[in-house]
Amino acid sequence: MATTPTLSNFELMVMLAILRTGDNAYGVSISNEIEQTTGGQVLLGSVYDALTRLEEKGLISSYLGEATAARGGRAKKHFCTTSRGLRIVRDTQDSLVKLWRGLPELKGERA
Amino acid sequence: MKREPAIANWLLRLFCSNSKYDAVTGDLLEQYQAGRGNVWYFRQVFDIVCLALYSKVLRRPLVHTHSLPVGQGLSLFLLFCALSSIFVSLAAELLIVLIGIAMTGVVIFLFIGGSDRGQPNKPPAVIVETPYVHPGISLHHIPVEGAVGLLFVIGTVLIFATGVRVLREILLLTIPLGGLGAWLMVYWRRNHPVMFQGLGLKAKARHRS
Repeated sequence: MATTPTLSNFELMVMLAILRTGDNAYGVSISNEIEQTTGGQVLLGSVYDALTRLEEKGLISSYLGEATAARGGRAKKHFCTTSRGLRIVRDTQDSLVKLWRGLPELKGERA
Repeated sequence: MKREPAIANWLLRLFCSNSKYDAVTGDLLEQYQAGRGNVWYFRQVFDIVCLALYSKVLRRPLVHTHSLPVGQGLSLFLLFCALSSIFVSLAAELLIVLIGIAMTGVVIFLFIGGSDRGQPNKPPAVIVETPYVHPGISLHHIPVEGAVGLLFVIGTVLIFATGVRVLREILLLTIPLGGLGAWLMVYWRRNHPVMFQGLGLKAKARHRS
């Protein structure tokens, strides 16, 4: 029986960033999306490391895009979530929401 | 159009796979053209190189076929150190050899002892009997290769030590103590069976033929 892969905090952020950026999800746009939403600095290497792991787990797939002059003639590597990846993200969300609910320490905090 | 630092790209080519190299350098160049500086570029490259090294060394360590020649090479090196120290017997060489032996011992344990790290889904290659493992002292996490490596190190240290008078005298005391310890371990082994884990080289050899 195949085991269900688990997502680390950063992997979940990368998955969500891919979903948010849609068709234009590649290294730079993903790291920019995470930087804008979290306010922290993200290293491109860390993003690619997480993307490699997610691809190995079968949660995302990649395809080569267009090559531009600004990129020195190198093609973009676009990423999109697979149906399995989407299911794992939903499951993670459900689990986190369940854990979140009914915590008196977090009542009155922002949603 | 700004040209990206050549050394940084050379480092990336060394540590990245071909498919990843194009995507990463393209992304870095795009950001670099958008106004990022050399420091930023080198910082990104340093991070990518560190992560690649981490992946290569810790996630995919020297296992299976690689560990064999490396182990033999290290053993030859240790033997060479031991023999040369016997013939030379000077303090400086003695120190170098001791540091060398200690460092190679550490390397052996880091590479061979941690061969299963980062592969949680991979089933163990060979497990010989006894499902029961005593919760107190247990050897079931130490692969056989680690023990063989340790034996090489101990053997080499012994060869080397017998060539120095002071160490020979120390050994007169420590060897009986070691024997006592070994007997205790054998006694423990008889009463508390442990599992041994191998590399599965048999399966590999069968596959080749």
